Amino acid sequence: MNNLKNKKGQVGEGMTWFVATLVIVVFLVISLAITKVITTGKIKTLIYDPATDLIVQKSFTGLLLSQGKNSETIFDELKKEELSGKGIKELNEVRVAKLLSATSKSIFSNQDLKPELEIVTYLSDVAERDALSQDSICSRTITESNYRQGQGIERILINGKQTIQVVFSSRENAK
Amino acid sequence: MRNKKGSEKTLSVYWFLILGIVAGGIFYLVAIFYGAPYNFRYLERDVLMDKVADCLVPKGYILPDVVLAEDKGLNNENFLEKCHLKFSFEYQKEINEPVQYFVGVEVFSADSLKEYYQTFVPSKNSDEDVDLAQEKIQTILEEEPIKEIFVGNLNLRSVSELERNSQRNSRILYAVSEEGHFYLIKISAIVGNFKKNE
Repeated sequence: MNNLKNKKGQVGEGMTWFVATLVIVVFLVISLAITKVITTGKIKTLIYDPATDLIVQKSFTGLLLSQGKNSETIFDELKKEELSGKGIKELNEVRVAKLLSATSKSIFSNQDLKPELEIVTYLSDVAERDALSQDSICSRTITESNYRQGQGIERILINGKQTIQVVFSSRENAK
Repeated sequence: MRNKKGSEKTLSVYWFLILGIVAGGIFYLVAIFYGAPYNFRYLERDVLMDKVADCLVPKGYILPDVVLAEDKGLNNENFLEKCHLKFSFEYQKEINEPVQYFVGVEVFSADSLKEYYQTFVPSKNSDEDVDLAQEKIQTILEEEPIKEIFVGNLNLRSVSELERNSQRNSRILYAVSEEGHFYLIKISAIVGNFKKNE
């Protein structure tokens, strides 16, 4: 009796550990059961979700390079129209996006353009890669540091002279 | 003091027991979480389409090889090599497993769009214009392609018919040549391994 009294503290400590073990075991069993129910029999299907759609991007660039009136590219027409209308070397990016998305609708009529991949286009008419800001016709000067993550960039040299740079970005990224 | 020594020994057994339970639990959780199979088929298909698109239209303009006659340009024999694609792997050959990829490229001449672009005024792009272009594109795609390239396991095409309605296995790429010709390229890609992903 006396012995048991002396060990009271030890028994209490032992009981604490015993209960703690039970709690841990119960907690683990519950989380295991939940995980098992969630994952059993399910195949995880991964979907390719790039920030920009490369096929649309390439088609779009093709559209800009298409020859329109007087053997000028649509890009040139856009540029000329904007420059003559405003008299300043700036292209309203909202208007360009609107114009080109209307045009692209016809080109991409048989494919689904995800709304979140709606294209925001900036055009840069530059002679050299390093001179991006010198002759830019977009309302925002685009330099390498301005590129946000998830944007696609197409740079095309036309007739060995003019470089068009088109930056594609999803609406989500543009926010 | 002597009694306490005994209790420490008893408790150390508990410590090991708890450590074992927690470690085992974590191991089992990770195993069942990552043990679930992943279906990469659609991801692979889309990446494959992107690779093909990038190969056919590398820098804004269509690759001249794409529209050259089959004996000179891109064809069924040299397509994989020129586009840096590899469809068959050693382990598949060892177990006699057929190739699990299919890629189709159909090139249509879209020069009839020229007429549309001649009258195209960016700022006056009306709904009628859009309808006209849509109509033209549909007509072009119903015509005979000027070039067809089919590589990989052609049998996948028929199997894939079943899921064609729900899955996007082919897409249209619009491209121009440096000479000023217009093309519509239908790129199809199918990744097999159907049974593994049922």
